[in-house]
Amino acid sequence: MESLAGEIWDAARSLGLSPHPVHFETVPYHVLYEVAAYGLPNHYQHWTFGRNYWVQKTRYEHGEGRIYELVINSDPAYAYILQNNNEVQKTLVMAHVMGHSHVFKCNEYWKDTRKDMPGYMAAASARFATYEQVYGFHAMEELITRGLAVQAHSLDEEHEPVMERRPVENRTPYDELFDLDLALGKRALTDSEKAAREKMEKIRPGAWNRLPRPTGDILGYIVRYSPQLLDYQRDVLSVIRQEGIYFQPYYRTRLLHEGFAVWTHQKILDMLDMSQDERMEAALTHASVTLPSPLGINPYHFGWKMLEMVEKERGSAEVIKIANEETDSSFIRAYLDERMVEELDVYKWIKKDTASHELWEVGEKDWRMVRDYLAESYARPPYPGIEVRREVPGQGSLVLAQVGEEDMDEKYARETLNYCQDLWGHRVELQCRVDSRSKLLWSHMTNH
Amino acid sequence: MNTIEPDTGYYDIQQKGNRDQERHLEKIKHVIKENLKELVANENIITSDGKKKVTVPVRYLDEYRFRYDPKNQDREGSGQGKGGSRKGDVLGQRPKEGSGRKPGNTHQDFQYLVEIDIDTLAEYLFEELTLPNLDLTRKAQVVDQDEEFSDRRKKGQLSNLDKKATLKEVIKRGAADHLSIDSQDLRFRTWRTKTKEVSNAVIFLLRDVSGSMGESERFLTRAICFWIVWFIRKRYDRAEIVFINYDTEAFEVDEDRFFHEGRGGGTKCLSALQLTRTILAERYPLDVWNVYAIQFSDGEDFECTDAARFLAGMIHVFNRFGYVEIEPNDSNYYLLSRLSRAYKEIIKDGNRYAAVKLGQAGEVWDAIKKLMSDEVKGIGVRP
Repeated sequence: MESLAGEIWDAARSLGLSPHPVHFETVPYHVLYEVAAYGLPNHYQHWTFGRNYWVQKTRYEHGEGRIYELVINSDPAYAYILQNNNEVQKTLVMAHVMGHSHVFKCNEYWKDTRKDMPGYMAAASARFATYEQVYGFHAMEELITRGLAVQAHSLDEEHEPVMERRPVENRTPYDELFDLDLALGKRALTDSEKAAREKMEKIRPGAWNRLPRPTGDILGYIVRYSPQLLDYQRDVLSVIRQEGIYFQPYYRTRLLHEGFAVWTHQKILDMLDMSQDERMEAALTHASVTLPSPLGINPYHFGWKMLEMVEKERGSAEVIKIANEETDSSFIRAYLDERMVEELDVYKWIKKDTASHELWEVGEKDWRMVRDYLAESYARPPYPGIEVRREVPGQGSLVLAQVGEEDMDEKYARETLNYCQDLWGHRVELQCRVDSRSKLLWSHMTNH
Repeated sequence: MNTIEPDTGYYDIQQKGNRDQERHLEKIKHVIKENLKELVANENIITSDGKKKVTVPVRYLDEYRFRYDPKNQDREGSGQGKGGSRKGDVLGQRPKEGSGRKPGNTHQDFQYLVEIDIDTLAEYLFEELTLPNLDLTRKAQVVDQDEEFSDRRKKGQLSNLDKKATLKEVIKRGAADHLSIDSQDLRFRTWRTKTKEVSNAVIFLLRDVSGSMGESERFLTRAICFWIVWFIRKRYDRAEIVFINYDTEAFEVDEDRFFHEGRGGGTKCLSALQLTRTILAERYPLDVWNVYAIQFSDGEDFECTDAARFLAGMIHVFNRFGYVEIEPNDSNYYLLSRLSRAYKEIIKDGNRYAAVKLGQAGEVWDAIKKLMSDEVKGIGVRP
């Protein structure tokens, strides 16, 4: 296997890939599923990961949802391979991993993620274990629960390539405190503004200076400015935030990641010396993971097929360029053409309700419409976008607002706001859309 | 350059899964505990027939976060056909029933099927129950089968020498300093035959099998009996159950017949009470047996006054006599039947007599609680 790993590495390099070196480890399924449930080895503990582990392991034991491998984005990368893969499957999986490792190292959205994450996380977990001894199991569990609730809203803004800024709507009397003329020194404070500022300074020192613009980094804002967090709590939340930032590019590049990894394993397998039987075995494994699905897009199939068609017309350098530069959305927008839509038979479906039945049918087949629909849906984050807008002077409340027009789940939002208040120490409000209307929610709301 | 970790069976990954998995299961148990009321009448459990584990549905334990409204999800999406799909092609359909899931896997309304140990479930439940009017003095002397290797004697085989006990004797004598062990100090282990006292209970279950008692009556009866029988067995080392079916006549039957027999005559409760008294007199002396009885009926007994008088005359022998009236189709739910009115008027011992009325599965738990609780404070032992 050692020499195989070397051959695969050489093949990947000669293809033009530049992956992180990969450290392979074969593990039994329960270890693989455990790492998969936590996202990283040596992870800190929380029951939600235990739930994921349990659900995935149970699925595996019932013969569903097999995971062949798991790659950790780090330098060197770590790849865990299922022990009961046969030799040919292991070869295929190792070649596949090269594709992931390349995307981690070279893609615009991945290359700046932290590459020391496994060590960082192992050290953090050790600290967490100590905190648990000192502050108690429940204190830690509750803290982590609250951190995880807003983990998706972690951003490393310096490294964020396309952070869209929006003007602040919903002006309040306090907004003039932040107006441009004032900031540029073109006018002086009015008396009422002075009073408001002084009052705010008294209650929340420093709040005045830290509201230059809205931020999507809710967790970061809380970690930095919450007046009530203890050091260990700040540490725990910072780790959760770092992890959030680390996984942030994931949802934008699922199609690209898997498509490119399949493309890579196909290319590398072609270059390896294999018997006829082995090729047949590899082809079977390949086919089993690249089945198209009528009510969803299988990224292994769709991403790979798109790349293969690009390669036919423009060569493999173009494929690697895509892996380096694009997101799922930009890839589809720039490359999905009429021929691909036709050949891959991709469509938008809609669900209809008749009196007696639920019915799924092809709703759109026009290639431009399909392309735009796909590009939009791949750009859509899996959670609503939310920004910290301001702190309310004199009260210490934190004001959040939803960016976007999609309805939010009100019950979940309220509970999450309660969590936020626990971390922030004061009321947290959220202007959002619920049942197609704009609505203001706040923590520990009692009315309906 | 790639590297390979030789497979040693040791993985450089701290195993966390089990603890967090346990914690998750703990949370599931909590949910189950909160929903005990619904589970009590779960058919899987009631009809488990001695199986140790049952599968019950539990909702997916989600964590709160900001998320989209799930109502609007899965209304549209993208997919791939086998080639040549056209707008309007039907991809799949299914009859409407409840949930709005698309075929295949989604997490909406996801439920686990959790396998739970019936014993564990019973423990949760029984936390809320007590044995009414329990008499701790009514016990049987039983020679325990296990003899205990625990007694100490001054003579015995050297191989059974109890060194610790021997040294204690030395110390008692004040000879520990120069450690001289006298033959007086020697202590040997020996066997002892134990007698222990175990508490006794007999429970009479009286089921009305007359024509008016149908399928749902039978199920509700069974649900209540299931838990009470188990509870009694759990709390008493030795519990016996006497199954009696009655219409105009009463018969002692086995457990299987008790639940499945239906006869179809009229109802005469007196017959069941008389049989109970006969069996008690023959087999269960009151100084060593705690006696419970639960009678199930729809209450349509035209000679109910006789029955009530008879019961009033023997109510003192019961730690608790429960009357369960089952009326699934009762339009006058709050109207008392003849029998329950007669019982209520004639039986004066409100602590030994408890009546409940129920019509549906959701009421099973409250019925059990009412039957198995001390309503009057301070009474635990018969005067």
